[in-house]
Amino acid sequence: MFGASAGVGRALARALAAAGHDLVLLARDGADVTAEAAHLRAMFAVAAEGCAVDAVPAAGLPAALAGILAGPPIDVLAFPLGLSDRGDDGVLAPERVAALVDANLTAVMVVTSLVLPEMLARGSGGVVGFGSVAAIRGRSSNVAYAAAKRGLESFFESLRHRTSGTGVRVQFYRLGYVATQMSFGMKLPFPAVSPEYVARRVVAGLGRDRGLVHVPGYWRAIGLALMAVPWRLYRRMKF
Amino acid sequence: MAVARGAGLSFCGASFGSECLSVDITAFDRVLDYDSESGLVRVEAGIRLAPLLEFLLRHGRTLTTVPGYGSITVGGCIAADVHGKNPARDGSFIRLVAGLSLFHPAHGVVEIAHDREAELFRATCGGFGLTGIIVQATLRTQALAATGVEISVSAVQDPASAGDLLVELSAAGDFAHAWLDFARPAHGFGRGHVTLGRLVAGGAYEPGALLPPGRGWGRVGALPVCLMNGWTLRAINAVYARRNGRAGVVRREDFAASMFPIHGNELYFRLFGRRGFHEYQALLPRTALPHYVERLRAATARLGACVTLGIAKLFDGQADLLRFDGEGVSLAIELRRDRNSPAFLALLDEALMEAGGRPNLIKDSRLPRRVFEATCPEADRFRAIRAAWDRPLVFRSELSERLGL
Repeated sequence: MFGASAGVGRALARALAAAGHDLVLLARDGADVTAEAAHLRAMFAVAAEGCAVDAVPAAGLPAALAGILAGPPIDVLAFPLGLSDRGDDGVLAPERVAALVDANLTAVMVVTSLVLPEMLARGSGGVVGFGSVAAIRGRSSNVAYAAAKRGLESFFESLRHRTSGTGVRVQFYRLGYVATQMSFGMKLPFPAVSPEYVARRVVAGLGRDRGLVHVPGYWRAIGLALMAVPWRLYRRMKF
Repeated sequence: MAVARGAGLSFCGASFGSECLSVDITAFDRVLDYDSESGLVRVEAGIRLAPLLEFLLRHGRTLTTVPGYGSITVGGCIAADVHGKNPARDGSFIRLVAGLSLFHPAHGVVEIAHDREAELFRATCGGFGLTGIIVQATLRTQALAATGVEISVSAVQDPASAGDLLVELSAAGDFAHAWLDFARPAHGFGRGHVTLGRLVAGGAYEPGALLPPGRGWGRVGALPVCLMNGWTLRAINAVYARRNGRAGVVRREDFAASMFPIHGNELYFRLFGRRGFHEYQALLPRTALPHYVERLRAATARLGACVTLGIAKLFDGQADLLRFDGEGVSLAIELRRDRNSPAFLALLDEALMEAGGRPNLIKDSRLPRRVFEATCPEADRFRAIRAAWDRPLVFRSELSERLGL
């Protein structure tokens, strides 16, 4: 699990451990995933380890993950990670743009490419991706973030196509507002769901062949409505 | 300026203050290590007691000091030095703390314990977060032989005889308290029953039963109006006494209900409406109890106060720094907050000082500094420890400002 120290990742790790899965938790904050892994071992009697890995730069990931990839085969690869930047309005410094794309998109593609061959050879496994409703329609804030998340949707669609009929299952969740540190203190037009709710949905969907799923579900309707807004009106909308 | 905030269950401003940054620690909620040999468990301070107990129960262990609501964090239990079901036998939460990590921006993270930075440790347990942020703690656990609870009840005519009975019985029980009815100043004021609980074999415990209910009144905000008045109060007390106060019979109770009696009964707090309620808890020498209760009765009659709850417990510890401990009977009351309550509580303050009692600082949102100084002789010692450690005073709250700590 990539991005396991906070928010949806932490809740998902606990839900998976409660369901009896052994876990490898990866996140930038090594102290935090180490503590989380200790908690999962004590609480749920599963094997769990935490490992500090930074998704930025994504090019460093193959070397950083070599030890883990040499270990036991991976049944499910989950990417509940997201990096946003409150200054992301289209005129961000180059390294901050690169960080947003690396963390939200490139890292997921790189790690999947590293693990997928073994899953395909085995004829089983799963990859779970997490996108954002910010990818529905581009707007003047979260510019690079939304672009990377839309790229991620394309990647998961391709991945599902690529793995169709191989036994490898792909699921992609487009998340609405979730009560995490990313949304903390923000005024939101719709209520935020808890990370635990998202985690329950994801665990229930494991092993299923799923295209894009909205969580919570009503975002599907909001997404369709947003797509239907004509440009002349959309350009005047402030949100 | 900053102060740590746990579950936010205190009845006073201990986790916030004006110009003061509240640091929410509830995301740090993990069990880091458990040693089945020594029974020591290492946790992050934001873990709540209910999930921690769920974990310990699976290993056949428990904590000897557990307050009434499972959402409280371990950090909060330490910072307020809470007491449990039988403080005369078990003392307060500090007894469980084998060590803790304390963060202070000027000192970093330091490990303290009974025998390591002892003064700072004693000021931190029951120090209301004023020495820094409690980050982790190692707690002593105890083997839990059984999860059945056997309750026996004896009727008492007044708080003083409740105190006498508690002295007689406390040593023999795992839970011991008295419930007292203060609804009618002119009739049977302070009558009630002493409840003694023992852990016995044969109780079924279902995993998850200790967790606070996911729905119900606990999730609902205050009612817009106050429904607590003389009529509803007498009805509530009558139902409570009939349900819990049948003397002479030994009945079985659910383990989870004994540990966290407030779970599922949150409606009681909602009845007070938006104006809320006051709690006043005083630790009194037993000899002073009858006079204090008489003062309480007079104040209730004079100001028409709606005293909704009276709970007495026996204490047998030692007063130290700001901690709510000592020798005597603690009497906790709750009352509807209304126009007369400031005057009513001021009368209780006078009675408390007269009786040589000690107030529970975490349960009183308005205790004036004058009363605090008169009842906590070690306030200056606490100030000195804090001044030497927390300089310039970084950790502050409404409580610390009000009491001049």
